[in-house]
Amino acid sequence: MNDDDDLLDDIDLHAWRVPPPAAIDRPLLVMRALSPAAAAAKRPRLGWLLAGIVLVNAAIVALLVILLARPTATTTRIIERPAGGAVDAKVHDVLARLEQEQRRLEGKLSEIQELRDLVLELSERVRKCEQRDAKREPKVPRQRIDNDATCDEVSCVLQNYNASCCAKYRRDAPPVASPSLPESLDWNRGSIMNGIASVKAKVMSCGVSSSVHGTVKVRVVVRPDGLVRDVTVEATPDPALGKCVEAAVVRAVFPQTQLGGSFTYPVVF
Amino acid sequence: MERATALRSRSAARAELDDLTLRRAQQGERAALDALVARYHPVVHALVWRMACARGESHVADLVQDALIRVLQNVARFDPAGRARLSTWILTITTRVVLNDRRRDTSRDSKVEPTSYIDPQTAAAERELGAAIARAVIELPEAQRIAFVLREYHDLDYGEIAKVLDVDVGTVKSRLSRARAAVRDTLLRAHPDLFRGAR
Repeated sequence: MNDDDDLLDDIDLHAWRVPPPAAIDRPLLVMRALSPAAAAAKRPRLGWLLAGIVLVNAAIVALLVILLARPTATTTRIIERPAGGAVDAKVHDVLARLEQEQRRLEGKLSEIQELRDLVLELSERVRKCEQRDAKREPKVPRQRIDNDATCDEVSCVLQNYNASCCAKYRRDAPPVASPSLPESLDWNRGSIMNGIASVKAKVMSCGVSSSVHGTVKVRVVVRPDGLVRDVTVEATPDPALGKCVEAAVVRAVFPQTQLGGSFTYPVVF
Repeated sequence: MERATALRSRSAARAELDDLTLRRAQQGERAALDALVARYHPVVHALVWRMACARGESHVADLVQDALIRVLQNVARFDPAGRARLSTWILTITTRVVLNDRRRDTSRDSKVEPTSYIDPQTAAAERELGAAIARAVIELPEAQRIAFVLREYHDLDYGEIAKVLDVDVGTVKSRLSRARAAVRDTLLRAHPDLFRGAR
């Protein structure tokens, strides 16, 4: 049949003898082979698998039944109180304190709610009152300042110097005559020269800075308090020189009088 | 040449079950099934023994019973008009049973020293040769061993062995070639005088 068949040709391989088979109960073997139980016994793994699947399915069905049977509408909380012992007593104490704290906070909360309602009510009342007052309240003229106690310079400025007491604060108002002072200044040469003397140096410095020579004639109006109200240059050889003299003379200070006065003063350069 | 003649004579002596008994067995008739078992029990036992004798006699007996039960349960499926002989079909089932058993539990392999059946009437030299052949065959790799046993002890041709093992004919040839060479080498080492004439 094949070349390799000859390789062991000179050896009787059947020298390796097989013992005669043990006697078997052939009818029993046939019965086992034909019985369905034997066929089932051949598949233990399949049986276990089927049993496992059945058990798993049963467990799933039982779980579903349990879940579906549970009441879902109402839930009841059951708080189990400690039964006893040192630790249980502490837990009980803590729970009692927590309940007290809860009650206290609830009371505070109700108070806060009441106060809030009160504030709202008051604010509503205030709003209504304001509306009512706005409807019937005419414009009240500002209170005039007539008494000397409230008559200060700021009030007079705000009143536009209308009050009688504000005359003394007006810059262009006639000075209030002091009864101790003479009614008018006796504008003699001496008093005029004394007043001019205070600004004599500045007046003369105007001639130093200017090369123009001549006479600058200024008219000076003096207030009752001795300060210069106005200076008018009536004649000047040079406007700049006149301006310089005017600026110097306006700072002169003269003796106080009841009515003030005016005079003309020539400055020769 | 002498060996081929011997094989043919052994095959003729090992005739298949007659068609009538087979048909009755396929119909589930117990007597026919009993006859089938009686006819093929030695064949199944011989194959299982040569493949699994290292695992002990009780294990061999279990495998034989398992194989015969499979045969009886499936005999109705056997096609008498098909290309396979009934004996080849039964050897196929037996081979599957043995191989499946080995796959399930390989730890029990080679726990028992492979032996040859000692017939009191056989000569001592033949007994020694039988034991040597048993050891040589048992040492073969499983794939080579099953092909060798089916070819040398059950007279299956290459095509039938290929169908039994579900491999190509070329694979069967190569396995048989290596198996024979290995058995020859083993025997040559153990009994150099056996091949003195052949050399």
